[in-house]
Amino acid sequence: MAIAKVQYKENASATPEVWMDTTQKTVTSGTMLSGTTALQNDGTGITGNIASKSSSDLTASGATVTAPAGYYASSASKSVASGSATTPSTSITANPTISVDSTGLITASVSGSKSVTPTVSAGYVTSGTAGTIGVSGSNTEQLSTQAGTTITPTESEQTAVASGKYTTGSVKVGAISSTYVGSGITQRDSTDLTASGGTVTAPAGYYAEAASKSVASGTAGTPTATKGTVSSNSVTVTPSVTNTTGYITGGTLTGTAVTVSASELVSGTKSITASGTTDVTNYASASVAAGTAGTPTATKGTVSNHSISVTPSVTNTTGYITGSTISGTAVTVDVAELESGTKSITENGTGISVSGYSAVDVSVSGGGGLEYEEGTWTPTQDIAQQSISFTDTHTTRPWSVVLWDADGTIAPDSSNLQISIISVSDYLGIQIPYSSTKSIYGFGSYVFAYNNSYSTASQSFTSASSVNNYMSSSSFKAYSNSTGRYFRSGRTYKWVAVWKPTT
Amino acid sequence: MRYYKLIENGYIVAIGTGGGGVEITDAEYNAILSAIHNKPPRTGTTDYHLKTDLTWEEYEREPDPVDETELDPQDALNAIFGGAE
Repeated sequence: MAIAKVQYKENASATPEVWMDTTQKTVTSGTMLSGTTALQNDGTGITGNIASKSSSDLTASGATVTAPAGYYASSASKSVASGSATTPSTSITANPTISVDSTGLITASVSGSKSVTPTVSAGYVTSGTAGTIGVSGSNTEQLSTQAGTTITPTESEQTAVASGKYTTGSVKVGAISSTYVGSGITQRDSTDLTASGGTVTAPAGYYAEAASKSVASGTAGTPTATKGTVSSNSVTVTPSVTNTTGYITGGTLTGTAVTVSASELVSGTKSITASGTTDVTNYASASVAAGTAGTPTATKGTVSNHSISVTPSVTNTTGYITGSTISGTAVTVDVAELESGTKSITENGTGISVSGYSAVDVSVSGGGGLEYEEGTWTPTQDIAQQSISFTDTHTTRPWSVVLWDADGTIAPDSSNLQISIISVSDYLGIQIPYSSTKSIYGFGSYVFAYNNSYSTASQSFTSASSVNNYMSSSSFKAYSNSTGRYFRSGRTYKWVAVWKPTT
Repeated sequence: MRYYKLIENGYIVAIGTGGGGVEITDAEYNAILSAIHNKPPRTGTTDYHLKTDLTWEEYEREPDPVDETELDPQDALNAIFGGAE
């Protein structure tokens, strides 16, 4: 909130009245020395309370000087009591570092420090030196030196490094020569070798290189042989050879052989008369007697149907016989000696055996027999009629045909054909389809029902032309003239056709 | 034994033994016979032709006609012996 303007009526009796604005007056008793006065902004008067101070008002306690609050018209000071400091008595020990350089110079160095605390009394002390004691310093000593070297070894003692010497380089002992031989050993070579006959002598000592010595060469003699006593199958031979003294190489020398003729070893003639292997040892020749080959012959033995025993033989004289072939007289056998009797055949046929017979009588009764032909037929559809062919060629139509269900089982379908029989006898024929509940068997012109009851229509033929409608010399017609009767698909029907005898 | 097959309009209508038809081997005969024994059953007016590759081809066939009256035994004998006609 703004403070309202404060005016002080400085002189109320004057005309006009004199008013003083005191709104901005901020003086207080704390900002005024004691004994001074002032006018506040509300127009009222106040008195100051700040006390006046000097050096005598200051106090010291230890290192602290205290100045009380108040107004100091001039500078003020206060002294504190004086103190003292004493350096302590102490010692320091340091171990030096020692080194030797490449020239044999020894250097010893030392460095160290130690902290110390001075003794101080209370009071003001002037500045001085810090309490630290240090130590440092060095010194050197030069050794007697010897340079590095390589010593060549000898058979005598040598000093490599003298006593008290510091070597500044490597002291080495050189390698001994690989051919070095001590002074107490004799060295040898080829000239020291000696030969006597076949022996070479090498004296003791050291041979630095290979040594050799040749021995004298000899000459190999040519071998010879001398023939001694000769008897049947053997001869004594004495070989010999003469060589000169000396080294002889391993070559082969061939000398003169001993010749022995066959006549010196064998004699006489061996006479051979028997066949086989003969020993002819010790004989100079062999003699074989000639033989004569005999003429082979054969003797007829027992004769029976289809077989005869024959015994061949040949007689030769003793001795050598050449390998030529000589044919002798054969044995003769008549047919009559092998076969006998008469085979009687009364029936037609082929491949009839007549073995063992010398004759055949054929007596087949005259007139043609029954001809017949058979076959099967399996339709893939239910069908009312079908033409079926014969295999063979015939000059007339068959006398009768029988057709039946060869599967045997009659299906329970009464509306379709199960069995059909065609029977024709010249001008008379029937064709009878049958139901499932009945079956038929028969032959020729007679047909019988299983239960003696026909179940469907039949047909008779009263003329050759009507029969020919169903029969021909090459086929017949399996036919149902009854509506709704069929040969069943999948069933196998068997048929037999018969032709009348020709006489 | 001679085996044969009958072919009409490209279909096998029958097989058999004996004369006629086209001669075939016994192996082919047995193969066709096996196919015939496995013929799909006929239903209503639907039947099947056997093709030469031994597969069955369906076709529509005429319905079965009504059965005729059966022949009595005497009429059958008359037919056999050429009696009253």
